Amino acid sequence: MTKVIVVTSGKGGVGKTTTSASIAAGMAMKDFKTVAIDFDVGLRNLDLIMGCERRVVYDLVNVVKNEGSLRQALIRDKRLEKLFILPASQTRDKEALDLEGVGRVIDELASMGFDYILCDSPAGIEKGAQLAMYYADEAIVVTNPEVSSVRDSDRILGLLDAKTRRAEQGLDPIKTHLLVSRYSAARARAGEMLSVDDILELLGIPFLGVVPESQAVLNASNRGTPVVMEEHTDAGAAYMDIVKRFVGEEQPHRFLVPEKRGFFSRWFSPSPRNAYAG
Amino acid sequence: MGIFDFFRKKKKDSASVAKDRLQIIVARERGASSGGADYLHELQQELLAVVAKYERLDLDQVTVRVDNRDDVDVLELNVVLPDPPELPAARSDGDKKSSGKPSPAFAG
Repeated sequence: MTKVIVVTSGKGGVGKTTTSASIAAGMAMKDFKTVAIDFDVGLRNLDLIMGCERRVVYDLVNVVKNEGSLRQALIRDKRLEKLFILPASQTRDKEALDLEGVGRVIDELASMGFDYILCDSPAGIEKGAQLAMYYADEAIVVTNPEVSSVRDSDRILGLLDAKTRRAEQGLDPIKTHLLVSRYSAARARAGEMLSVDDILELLGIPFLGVVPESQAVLNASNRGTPVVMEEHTDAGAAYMDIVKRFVGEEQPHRFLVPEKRGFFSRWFSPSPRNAYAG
Repeated sequence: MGIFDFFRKKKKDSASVAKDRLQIIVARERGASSGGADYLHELQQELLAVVAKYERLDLDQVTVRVDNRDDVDVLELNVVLPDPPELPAARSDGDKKSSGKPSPAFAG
């Protein structure tokens, strides 16, 4: 049974594409056949984050417009056999997509036996974002611990409840999950940053996990590697935890309390895994 | 750490300010889209007008928030009265109020 998941946030720059790339790659690492679709027509970036930008020939708009087949547009990842990406078009605009065409693409992907279809939403609440979420069964709402991001996430939750196939057809509502990215447990404890508890209380949806603010994210994107594939890093480990939780494995939360580094750990334990135990 | 906390308590940390602001805005926007408690902003304006009749105050110093505690909604009104520097003597009976302490208003 194929599950369609939208990664969305409302606000730009909170880590939607990073999250889409890492969750898609993480699911493929867990042996699920997974495709990530970039819905950000005109500003495509998922291909770049996943390191396949030079292999893009056909894209989502071509497939929707019947200018190319889905098989021509799908790019198989060179590192993970079960990972695919369907890039966005860089030269068109979001008006090039329509609900019916996107529905056809998703149905065809489902018939190809994909376990997960991840839709990487563009920022905003306009057509592009609404198309990305329309067919979703579940939503991962990416939020930064920051006022504007939380407010926009709340707005997106309203849209998920109203402007999607499940809402319009009176089916079970979309299952929502909160992912807090760029989190600093130390700053939250010092009262300088909204804590996960604050955000959960404000948004009131189930908690999937946090990804700590980390240099590893930029490093991985520089190289075109989803950060989840660098499991020795803090952000990579956090994304892998999140993937495991999403597919139903029990996985205790980490990165919620500041690392305590005593004299010995500071000098003798370079591994962020040990440092962030919690 | 305790001693630093003691001094820090005087100023509300920025995260709790953020949370308070968001609670208002989220409640208002949810109300606007679902037809629920969308009177919050209006209520705030009217309360402000009442308080302003008796005290000079700053718009930023009034917060209205709705909390869900167990299964009751609690409406909390928080007015920080200004320090009374050059208030005329006739108003001095109001001095006791100007402590800036939260004053829960009513529950419903």
